[in-house]
This record gives sequence, C-alpha cells and structure tokens, in this order.
Amino acid sequence: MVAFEIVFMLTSPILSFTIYKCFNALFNQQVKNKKVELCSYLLHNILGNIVFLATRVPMYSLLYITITLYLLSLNYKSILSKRILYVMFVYTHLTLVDIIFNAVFKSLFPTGEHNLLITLIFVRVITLLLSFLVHRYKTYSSQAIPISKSYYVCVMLILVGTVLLFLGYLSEIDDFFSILVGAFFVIAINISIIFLYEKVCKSFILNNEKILLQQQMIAYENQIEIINQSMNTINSMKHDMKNHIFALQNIYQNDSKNASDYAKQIQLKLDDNTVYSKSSNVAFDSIINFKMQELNDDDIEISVTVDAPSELNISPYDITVILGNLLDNAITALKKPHKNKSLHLKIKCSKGKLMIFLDNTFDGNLLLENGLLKSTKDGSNGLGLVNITKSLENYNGFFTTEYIENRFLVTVLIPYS
Amino acid sequence: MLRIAICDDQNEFCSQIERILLKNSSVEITIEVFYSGEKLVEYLACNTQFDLIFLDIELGEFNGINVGEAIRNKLNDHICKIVFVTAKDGYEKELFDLQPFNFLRKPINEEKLVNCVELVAKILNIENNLFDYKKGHEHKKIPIKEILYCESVLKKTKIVSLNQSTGEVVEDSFYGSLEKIKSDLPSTFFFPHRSFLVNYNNIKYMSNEEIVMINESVIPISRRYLKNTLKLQVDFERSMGNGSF
Repeated sequence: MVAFEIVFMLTSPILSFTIYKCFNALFNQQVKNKKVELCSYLLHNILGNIVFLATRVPMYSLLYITITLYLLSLNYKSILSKRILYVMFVYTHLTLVDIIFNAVFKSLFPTGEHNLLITLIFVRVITLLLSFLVHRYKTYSSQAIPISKSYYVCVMLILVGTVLLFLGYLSEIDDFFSILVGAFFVIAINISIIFLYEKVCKSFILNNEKILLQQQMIAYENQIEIINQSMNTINSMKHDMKNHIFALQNIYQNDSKNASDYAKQIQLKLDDNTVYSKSSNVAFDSIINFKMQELNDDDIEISVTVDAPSELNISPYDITVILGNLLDNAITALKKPHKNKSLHLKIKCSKGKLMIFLDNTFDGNLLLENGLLKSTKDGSNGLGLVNITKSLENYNGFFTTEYIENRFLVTVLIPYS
Repeated sequence: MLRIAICDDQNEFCSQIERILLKNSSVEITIEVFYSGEKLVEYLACNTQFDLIFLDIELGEFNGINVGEAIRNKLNDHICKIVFVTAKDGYEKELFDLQPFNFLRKPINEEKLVNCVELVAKILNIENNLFDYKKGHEHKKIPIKEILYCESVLKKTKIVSLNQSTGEVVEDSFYGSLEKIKSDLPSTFFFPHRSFLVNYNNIKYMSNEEIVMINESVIPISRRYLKNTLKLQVDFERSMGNGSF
C-alpha cells in the first residue's frame, strides 16, 4: 500500500492546483491578497496529506475538502451566495469525477492495487483538465476571440485521445513502474497541450489588438490632418485680419463713416466663416468640421445641428467611420451639378438613442443593384456603407437610406447608455 | 393658450425671448419669467403646470440640470416640454435623461425659437384633446397627453395615465379593442407589442427589447414589432426637428 500513499502525496499538488484554477476562473481573479492565497493553497496541500495519512478514513477526507474549500474561497472578493454556489460547484466537480472513475475502474479491473492507483491518477488528471476548461471558458467567453471552433475540437480530441490510449495501454501492461511512467506522460502531454492552447489564444488576442491599433493609427492620422486644416484656416484668417485692420486704419483716417461700414462687413464675414459643429464632442466636431470644409460653395444651403452629449459611450473611431463615410457620400453628390443644392445634418439624442439625420440633394442618378445602392464612381464600391454597417453592428444600431426625387435621406440610429 | 415659462438669471435675456415670442408667435401664449431655478420650482410646486419651459443651463448653484431633475423627479411632471438654453458649446449627458424637447444656443436664433414654440403648440393642439371612453353607462374623458399606454387584458383594455398636476398614475379599464382605440388616438400611439398601445411622447427610454415609460413602467417590445417600432421612432424624431426636418 506504500505505493498508493506515495502516489497520493505526489499528485496532491495537482488537486490543490485544480481548486486554484477553478476558483480563479469562477471568482474572476478577484483575489484579496496574492501571497495569502499562495500560502493558503500550500497549507491546504500539506494539511490534506497529513489528514489523509493520519486518519485514512474517507469521511474525514471529505469533510476536510468541504471545509477547506469554503475557507479557500475566502481568498476572493464575492458575496456569500455566490461563494457558496462556487464552493458547491467545485465540490461536485471533484466528487463527481471521483465517483465516476471509481465506478468505471471497478468494472474494468475488479481487483488489485493497481486499480486504486490508476483511478487516483485519472481522477487527478481529469479534474485538472476540467478545471482548465472552466478557466478557459470563463476567461475568454467575455472577450470575443476569433478562434475557430475547429481548434477547440482539435485540442479536445488530443485530450480525450491520450486518455483513451492510456486505457488501452493499461490493459496490455501490468508492470507498476511502466504504468507510472505512462501516467506521467499522459499528464505531461495534456498539460502541455493546454499550455499551448492558452498561448495560441493569447497570441490571437494580441493579433486582434494589433489590428485595432493600426485602425486607431489611421484615425489619429485623420485627426492630425483635421488639426492641420484648421491651423491653415486660422492662419489665413490671421492674414486677412491684418489686411482688414490695415485697411480700417486707412479708411478711419480719411472717412470715419465708411470705417464703421467696413467693420460691419468684417463682422459679417467672420460670422459667415462659422464652425459647423460646436457640440464639445470632439469626435463629432472634428469629423463634421473637417468634412464640411470641402463644401465651400456659396450656393449650397447648409444647416448643421448637433444636440448630443459631449461624452458618449460610442467610440470616436466608430463615429468617425459612420459620419465620415456618410458625409463623403453627401459631398460627392453635392459636387455634381444640379439645382437647389442643400445639405442638412441633424444629430440628436432621445430616449436612449443617438440619431443622425442627413439629408442632401443629388443630381438624380443613382445606381441600384439588387435593391442595393452602388457608388456611381465605379459601380463596385458600396459607398463605404459596408464600413458603416460594421461599425453599427458593435452597438446594435441600424441605418436606412431613402431617396425622394433628388433628395437623399440617411438615418442612423444607435442605442447608447 | 400656450403657457410658457422662461427661467434665466440674466434679465435682459429673459426679456429678449419674451419680446421675440410676443412679436412673432402666431399662437396665443402667456409668459411667466423667473430669474432663478428655485423660484421656478417653488412656483411649480403650488401652481398649475406650464406647457413649455425655456430653461437656462448655467443658472448658478442650482443649475438647469438640477431644476430639470426637480421638475421631472420631485414634482413628477414628465409632461411639460423643456427647452434647454445655453451659452456654452457642449451638453452634459444628464441633460438627455430629462427628456429635453430641444436645445437653444445663445445668442438666440429668432427663427429657431419661434419654430420651437409653434411646434409645441402644434403637438399640444392634438395632445390637449380629450380621449373619451365608455365604462359601463358612464362616459369618461382624459387628456391624450396624459395617457401612458393601453394594455389589452383579456377582453378588457387597461388604460394607464399620469395626472400632470398631481403626478399620480391613474389606471382604469373598460371594454374595447386596442385597434379601435388606436383609431381614436393620434399617430404618436403605436404598437410595440400585440397587447400594448404606447404613447411615444411619454417614453423615457427605449432599448431593442423594452420601453421604459416616464413613470418607470416597463413595456416589452416583441421581435415581430421591433422593426416597425424603430421605424416609427425614426419618423417621430425626424418630424420633431425644426423646419428643415
């Protein structure tokens, strides 16, 4: 029986580690103190072995596990009901595997000490594997990782396959040492597979972040361009102002009545050079003011109203994609010759929804294919509408387009909270 | 008669709005002016409600957001229309939880101001009408603007309304189908669900699954009616804009 004790003690860290993995996953890694946590698991392991060696009564071991599970759970921040639920979960998880494998092995090998040993090893490995699965499910289910289901199936196949192969190996070989070596390798293979799998997941996440960063870079480049443009506007206004003041001085010296007229003219001109959007929402203001600069045409009737909070939980990147593409299309349409050009943009928030209404005139030529709008530029691009749809998907938003005679109406609706 | 309140700590600004409205408004109006938020709230607590309030956001300590919260949450008046007025550029997020009717920027654009009043008048002209129904042998009437929603319960219809002056929720039920009731009500009433007929103007918040009314009752949106509900929301909001929409 000494062999059983040795194996029990050797594999007992696996049990502690299993509990550690499960709790960390379930409590979302809300650890109170990392050092205390580590010590408590070590203590749990040592005490567990002592209880096992000293008493050898299964009842005590069960009692020990139940109590220590609850005590270990105190390492994590949570409410009582959740704590009890998770302790129960881990407890059933451990005992179920124990019972099932004991039953299976009893029917496979009716007698013998090997039977107990093998069961022990199996129970430890299987509980560990399951705890990894729980961990992986809990940690990554909250993050959307683009890992295909087939990878998951492959990993599962290897895990199940090695266990089955080991079972086959057991029926052939009777030597205790060989079984121990076999068991060691089964454990080693499975742990390394799980390790590799986690690494793959992490690299996927990293890759995703990289793509996001790249998109952000493009957005920042856009922002810089916007700042540059507005700097240029300010510079040219400065230059104009200098000239105006010089002229004013001259006029004032000769004819003070005309000077006031001239001053009024300048004021008008300044008012005329309005900034379209002044909502303090940087994303709206920068993209609208940037795009609208292209419309320096006097015979376009323009109105822009932005009644939206300065802070919204819609990312500036998505706002830029949505509004940028919509305004690009409107501006392209307005540049083509037609009568009574107009552009009306209204952004408002009501009843938990952000709404964008864009209404512009166009020359009446639209390309439709299967009821979908096609760009008149080359007939292949879907007017950047695909990008808008992609951005809207993140927020459960939607947008509609319609055209009445020569007016093109777009409505975007995005829930916000 | 449209009852309007102007609340701003700058006297000259109040008189400017008053002057523009009295000169240009095509509808009949009465105007009360308040120079502080406290005065407005005090007045509202013991007098009849206004239809429309022009509320300055930068009112000092007790600012426009506080006044709005007092009107909506303490005095329980969710029905009067509030137009926020500001000299600043941005809007705080809290403003949008107070069901603002519109926003005006200082200096005031006359046309926008007049449009705003006329739009409220137009909406109230419909909403001030009474909805009458027969309960047993009794004829009953309630102002349409106070109706929150109607719910079909078995063969009866439950009608839930919010009394503007007392702020109390009133429930009543009578025999009648929702379809028939809808035909007697303006187009702001719509079906988010087969057994609910909801007044859009008295909605506080809408997600894709449910509607929260101004008295916090929650009404489900069924999958079948979602598309139509969203379309209606877009149409209502588009038509609420001034002039250009």
